[in-house]
Amino acid sequence: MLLFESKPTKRCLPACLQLLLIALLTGCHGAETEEAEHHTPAHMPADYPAGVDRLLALHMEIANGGSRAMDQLDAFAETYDIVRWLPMLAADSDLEEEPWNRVHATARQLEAILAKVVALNGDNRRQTYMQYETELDQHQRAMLEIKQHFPAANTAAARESP
Amino acid sequence: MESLFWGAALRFLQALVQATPTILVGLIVAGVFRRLLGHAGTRRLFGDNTWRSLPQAWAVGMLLPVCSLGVIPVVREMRRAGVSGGAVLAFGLTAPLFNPISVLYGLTLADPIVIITFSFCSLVIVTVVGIAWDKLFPRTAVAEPEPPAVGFGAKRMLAVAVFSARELAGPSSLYIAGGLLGVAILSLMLPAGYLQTAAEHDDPWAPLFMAAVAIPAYATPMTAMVQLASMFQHGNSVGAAFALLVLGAGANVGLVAWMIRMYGPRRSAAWFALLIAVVVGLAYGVDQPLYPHGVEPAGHTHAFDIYCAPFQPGTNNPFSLAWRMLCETIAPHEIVALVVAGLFLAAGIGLAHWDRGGRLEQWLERRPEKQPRGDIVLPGPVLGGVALTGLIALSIFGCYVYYPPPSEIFEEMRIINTEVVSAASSRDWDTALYWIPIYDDWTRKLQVSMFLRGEELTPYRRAKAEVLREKLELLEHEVEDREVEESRELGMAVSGAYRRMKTAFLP
Repeated sequence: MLLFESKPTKRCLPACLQLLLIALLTGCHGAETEEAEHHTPAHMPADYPAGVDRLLALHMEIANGGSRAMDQLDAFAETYDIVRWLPMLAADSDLEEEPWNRVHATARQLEAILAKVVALNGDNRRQTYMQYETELDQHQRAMLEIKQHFPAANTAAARESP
Repeated sequence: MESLFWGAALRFLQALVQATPTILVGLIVAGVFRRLLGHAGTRRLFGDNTWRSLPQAWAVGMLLPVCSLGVIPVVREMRRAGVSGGAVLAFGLTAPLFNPISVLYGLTLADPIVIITFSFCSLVIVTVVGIAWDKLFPRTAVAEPEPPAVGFGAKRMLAVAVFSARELAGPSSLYIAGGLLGVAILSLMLPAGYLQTAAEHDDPWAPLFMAAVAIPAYATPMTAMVQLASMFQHGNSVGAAFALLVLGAGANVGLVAWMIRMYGPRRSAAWFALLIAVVVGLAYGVDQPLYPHGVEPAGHTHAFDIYCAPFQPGTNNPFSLAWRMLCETIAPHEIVALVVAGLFLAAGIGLAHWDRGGRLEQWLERRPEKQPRGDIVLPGPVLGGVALTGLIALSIFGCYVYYPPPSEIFEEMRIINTEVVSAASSRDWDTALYWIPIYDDWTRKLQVSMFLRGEELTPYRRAKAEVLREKLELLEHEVEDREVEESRELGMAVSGAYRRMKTAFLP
């Protein structure tokens, strides 16, 4: 067997076409690209207690039928986001495993309710949301009870800030 | 221009360094097929060109730890042994996708259902494309004359090494170089960070775009799995992740060139068109159902930075920067693999120059006149089977080495945590940027290590690790932007998250 006994690249047209396709898709460059920013959403609460407080405020806003300007984030969407973030906010603290599991389970159940709500449009959202009032109330009480585990100085945000 | 050139050279060398261990494995597997299993044994391993060929090729491919460059000598040998074209291509495509180490990583860090679905989809791909190939282009299995069996004893091991050396100094290297060249060219075409927003979940073009970029890209099975985990963490497109896994880890320009040379451009184009159609179709099919629950899309990912140019145009002194980056990323086992590969290559070149007639092989094939007394001569295929089983067992053992016990991992993390926090506080940006990805990697290895040792990876523990990784990523961005106060604060936050994670994992 000879060193490099053959020339396998003679007929590599599809490979060249592939590269050409990429060039067309990406644009032959020279242009500088900017580093993408890792953005934390503006409505993300600082910690678990702040998240629970915000959820209660949002619940009151929805229950009272408050409306927001078109350019503002919808109250249901904000509630849905905070509910999804709640387990991670709780994990960013000294909360022990058992209460954290309760936060996790509560957030999952709330998320399931809110997923149904945000899938609807217009007035149906509030109506559907209020149909779950009993469950929402139970979950809110559970979250408030766990909030008692958080003395003011025990959250990550409070402790690690200078 | 200078930064582009040295950037492409860096990408070429980084891929070469990463690929060398699996190229060596591929050479040994090819040597075992040729010198121990023989043509008949190799065909039997791949289903004897019956209906079992495709699933068997897929199953063998799932177990052997090779990458898309390391698979080149193996598929060459399979073709020489007369394995059907469909089975050769099925093995060539699936072997680089998974190995035991990467599957463990994927099962632990992405949702297990995702890895199981991706594995099943890869079986669907090789079955559909393989059946179509064998129907459209029958009689592609053409066996070459089989070399005589090797003598007994150490000669058989030596014969495998000689074959590997000659193969490395032969056309396999040219195809491998072609694959690496594809990586370099890709980095010339994609500016630094160009793919950071290429795989967003809400971008309907993401799977298609990723399919176009993935073929010239090269990823080891482990790199592909790390990218997959990162994509799931960042809420990227699942379809794009699938296209990246199948076409990025499974194919490269060198493999395409080999295929065209062996089967011709018309057949290869037809096979690739079908492959891409099936992959893209499945990618769009899994995109929504497998999207991870409760993940906040980060809006970008650094997972594909390695396919783009490493430097911005006008970067000062790109050569020394490239050299430093190469030295920083090279792992000890890769240095060993490079030395061994260098020895194989030197031996192969020497044999090609001084032993063109194959006198060494003739000596290896000479059998002793008398049967050795008190010694049992095992048939070559038995030894071949033992060698392949041993290779799989070794890769399972490798899992335990690659993922050490949690206590050892925490000792490593303790040191790295100190480095990161002190570097972030003292504006030592380069040190912080060096350690942050290593720190992140150890958090993932910790989870795999727990899973591997039968310890429960509860949602609580997962969440603690996730919080730490999230803070590390935020810190990385602040360090990149040279933000003094934010870096210091996030350094402290990382330290707190580390302490809490340790408490959760080692109560």
